[in-house]
Amino acid sequence: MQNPLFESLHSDDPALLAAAVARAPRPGHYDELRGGAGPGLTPPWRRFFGVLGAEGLSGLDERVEAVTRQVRENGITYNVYADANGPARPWSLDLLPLILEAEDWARIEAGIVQRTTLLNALLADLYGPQQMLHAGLLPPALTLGHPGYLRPLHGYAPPGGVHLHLAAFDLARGPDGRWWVVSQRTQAPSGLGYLLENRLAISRQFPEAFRELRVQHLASSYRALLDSLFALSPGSRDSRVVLLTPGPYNETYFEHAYLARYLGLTLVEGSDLTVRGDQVYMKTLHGLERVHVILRRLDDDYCDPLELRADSTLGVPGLLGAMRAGQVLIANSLGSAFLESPAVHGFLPAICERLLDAPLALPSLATWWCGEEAAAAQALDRLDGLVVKPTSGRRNFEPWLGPGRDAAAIAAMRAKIAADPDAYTAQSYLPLAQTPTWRRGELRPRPGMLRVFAVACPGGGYRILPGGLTRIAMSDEPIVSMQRGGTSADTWVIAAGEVDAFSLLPERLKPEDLANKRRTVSSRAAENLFWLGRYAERAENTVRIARLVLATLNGDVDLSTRIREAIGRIAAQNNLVPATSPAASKVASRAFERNLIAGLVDAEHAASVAFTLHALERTAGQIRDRLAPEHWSLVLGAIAELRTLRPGRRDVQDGTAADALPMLDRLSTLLVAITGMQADRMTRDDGWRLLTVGRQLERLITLARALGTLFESGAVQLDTGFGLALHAFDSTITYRALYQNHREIIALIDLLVVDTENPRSLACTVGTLRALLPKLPPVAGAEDCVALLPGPRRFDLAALNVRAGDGRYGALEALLGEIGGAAFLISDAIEQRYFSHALDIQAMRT
Amino acid sequence: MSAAVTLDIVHDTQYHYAGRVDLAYHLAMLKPQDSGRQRTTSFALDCEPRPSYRQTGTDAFGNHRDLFSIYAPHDELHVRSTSRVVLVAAPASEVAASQPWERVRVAMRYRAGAPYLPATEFAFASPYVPIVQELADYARPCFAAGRPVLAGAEALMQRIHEDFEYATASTQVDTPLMAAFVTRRGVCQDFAHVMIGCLRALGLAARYVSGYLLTQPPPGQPRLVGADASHAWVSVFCPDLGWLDFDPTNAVITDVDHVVVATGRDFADVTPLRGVIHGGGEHTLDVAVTVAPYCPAP
Repeated sequence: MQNPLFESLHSDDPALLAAAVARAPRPGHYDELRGGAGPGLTPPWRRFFGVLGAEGLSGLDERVEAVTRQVRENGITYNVYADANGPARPWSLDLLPLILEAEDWARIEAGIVQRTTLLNALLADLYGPQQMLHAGLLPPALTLGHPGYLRPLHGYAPPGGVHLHLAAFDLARGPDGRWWVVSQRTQAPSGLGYLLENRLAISRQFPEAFRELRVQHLASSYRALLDSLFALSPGSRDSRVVLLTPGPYNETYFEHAYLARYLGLTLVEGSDLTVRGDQVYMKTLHGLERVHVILRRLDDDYCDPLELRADSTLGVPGLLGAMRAGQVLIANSLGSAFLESPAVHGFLPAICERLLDAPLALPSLATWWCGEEAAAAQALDRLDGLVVKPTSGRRNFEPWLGPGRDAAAIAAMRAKIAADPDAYTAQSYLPLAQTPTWRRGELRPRPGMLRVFAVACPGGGYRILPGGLTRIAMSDEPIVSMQRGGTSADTWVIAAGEVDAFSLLPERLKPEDLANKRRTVSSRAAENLFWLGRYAERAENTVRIARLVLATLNGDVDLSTRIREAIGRIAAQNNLVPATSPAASKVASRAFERNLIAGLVDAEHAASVAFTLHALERTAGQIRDRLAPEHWSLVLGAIAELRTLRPGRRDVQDGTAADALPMLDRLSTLLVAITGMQADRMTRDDGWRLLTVGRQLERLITLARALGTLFESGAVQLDTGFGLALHAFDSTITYRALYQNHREIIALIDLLVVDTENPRSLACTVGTLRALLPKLPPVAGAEDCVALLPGPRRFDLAALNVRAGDGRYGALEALLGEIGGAAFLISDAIEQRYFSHALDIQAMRT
Repeated sequence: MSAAVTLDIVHDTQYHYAGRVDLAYHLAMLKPQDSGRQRTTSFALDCEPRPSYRQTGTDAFGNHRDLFSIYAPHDELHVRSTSRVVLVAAPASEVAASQPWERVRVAMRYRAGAPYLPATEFAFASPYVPIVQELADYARPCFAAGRPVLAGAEALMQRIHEDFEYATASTQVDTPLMAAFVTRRGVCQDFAHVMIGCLRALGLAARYVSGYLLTQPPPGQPRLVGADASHAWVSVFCPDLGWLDFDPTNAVITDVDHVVVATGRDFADVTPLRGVIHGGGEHTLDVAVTVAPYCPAP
């Protein structure tokens, strides 16, 4: 699409065109597009638009769409609110990169290498001799008085003396073009995965410019991080390295899964790991496997509920003991949270002189910690030019901006600081540099900040990833935050020399890689897969039965009491109505129906359809890395479908089958599709076998019980009851094809119980289990699950078809009871055998 | 009165779990300190079931720690610590000779390049002890201008002892300090936390002491509260005299009846026995402590 602006410009120079459609930045801010001098573009931006050409410039809107599409297709998300119901928001990425020239970058690089070295040395001192405290160079309130100083690690020296394997720094550029450090992240910095996705998406949009501008590549920095982990690992080259995530509800979970895949690490949660003695192990279906290195994305205090936060369910009890014993490398080492306090910045220049014997190369914003009287006096005099931030999490608040405040607001802040000076830190206010973004035919300047990453090198020292995560405020806000709806941009660093062509993206596989491709299934993943199978089958069965009950009650046939009673029992067995609900008698029919419809959407009631679907979502969410995106979409779709019948809406309180049945039909279709995904789209490893075992066990439990009820009550002898049995087994069409309209009990027993060719028959389900159970990983001393199942000889049609004088089918009813019982026993045995170490943990104190 | 006494201590902790515990990780701080006026001549820690793994160490404050884990299923845990300590009587306390409290407070504040007192660590908020204005207001009448810091602490101890009601089972181990402060009720742990909070709110350094109290009442004197359980009190810092221990539950400066097990910023640092278990469900807990003068066999 041609932008009318360009036509009126009559220019062939794309850089001139770009300059013409670029809005002027706010005065007093650095302009990334034009540099300090202006009005023309900086050399790299001139080259960028030159390579792009006038035609490329006019096609930028389409490229914006392509980037948005790719983000969506790759499933790049950022969980805005880190809770179960919070939306996973698509990652936001601007089309234009932040471009840094080689000289600028060299200064940043040298400054950040020095600063990371400094912070590491400072940690070694504070967990060791504490000379900086004794010399009065750092206030004890900011270290020993900070909740992030971890006393259980006092005296601990990590392997190689490396506390920080990875550190991130937020930089901002002032009006004169100089770079300043605004904040530092040392616990478990985020961004390494997102910036890589940004690079893949944006370099694809501008391949020529990317090449022509000689943008430095990133892969070597990731390789260095991995190599240094292996070099320092207590297990050396044969180490197992895992990436520890807090789980799918963490705001940056996407990145954890992405990085684990990119770096070739196993993604684990705390409950996947266990400490035995002084070593760390991963719990797998095949037993315990030693772990040597944990790259963690969990904050310090959550890592070990025994010695740190007792209420943490995300950590590994005993982890600190294993660290102290030198049996595991934790990257980063724990206990650096206090370095993230803004107050520390004010003390770094003097500490740098003392520890590194050199001036601090890349300065922080001027910082005053108000707990120091002299500093507080200075800060209080000029609050109108400062930003006030919390010193630590002890007293938390949003950063307070001084500029533009009236006298009353400033006096109020003064009083707050005076009441608890330690808790407040002031930093000078920096007008952020403005970087160009593309918005519908215009280059709009927006305030941006750059997060850069230092990684440890295998031989010691640090290197800086040549790039970073640029974050951009959506409007002219002075604060940049992805949580507040900001966007991000790729960061291009112009290479001073050769472009480093190393790549970590998948290489061509060798035959030996294929031979060793067995995938470790963690016990937690196995448990979730098992329950995914059970919940999917349960949802499918209960929805089918709910449909059946509603349709039968509202059919044109006059129902006998016997049928009504059987329906009532089956509905209660499947938790469609409370056990105390009025029976489906003719008089109470409406009340029963309303109960049933209201129960469908009541997520509180254990085992309601809504409850089962939410459980399905939760278990699927735990193992999203194993599911096809379509699989996950179907699960979300099923929940959305159920929500169309909202509690509180009139049609639910006074619900009728006419409202509920179409919803149940659509839901049923989605659930069948989920089953199809599971049967046909998943790798057939031990995890999949457990999923299938879970599904078959659930099927046995539901169907054996429903059929038992229909036989015990005699309802099966009636037309409606006979039809119910066929429907419950989803075998109506098969029966019609075989027997047309003949209604014979022996044919029913044959098709639903004995027939090994009907995939929904009990014999076929039992047969599937017989085949699958022996393929599960062997566990020494465990009893044989197959022996619990009734043998093939018990499925004898003649014997099962015997009807006693009282009208009961004794042998059949006994077999049905036995099948249900066996399913429960096998399920328990599997729980104990493969997952029982994944039970809830609790903290105790005396 | 002899200059030294020897005490025998047996501390039993018994857990009964409603469900089976598959895995258990525990951390015990039960060995009496071996420092100052106190010598620990013997110590044993016995657990049933027997731990699968044990590690001992010293924490950042110099306290002894025992870490142990059990990897076998169990539905009971019994931990018994047996100690013998020798205590030397304290010299007459010189509370009136200590520095004015304001000078101590100034010594605790950071000034660039000024010498650092390690005791400063105990002047900050800690997990169980927030720093709040109400506590400073409560303590203020005990600290008139220029009053020696330890004399002020003694007055504060008396004030808490008179104002607060000792009420067994009125609080849980994790009752917030402010709940005890507002209701003026609690057990020794709450008395200690309140007093520490008051001192820190004034800018002074105070630490939490976990230990035992001899249960035998001296003839003609009232029986001291705190028998047959762990006890807790407060240690207050004065730069020229060091640390002096005050027991606000009984309104005494400690002597040979108080056995120090561990010192820290608050209860969280010195919890006698903590653990993380897999499984277990509900549990009941029985604790029995016996402190008795050592009687050599005749």
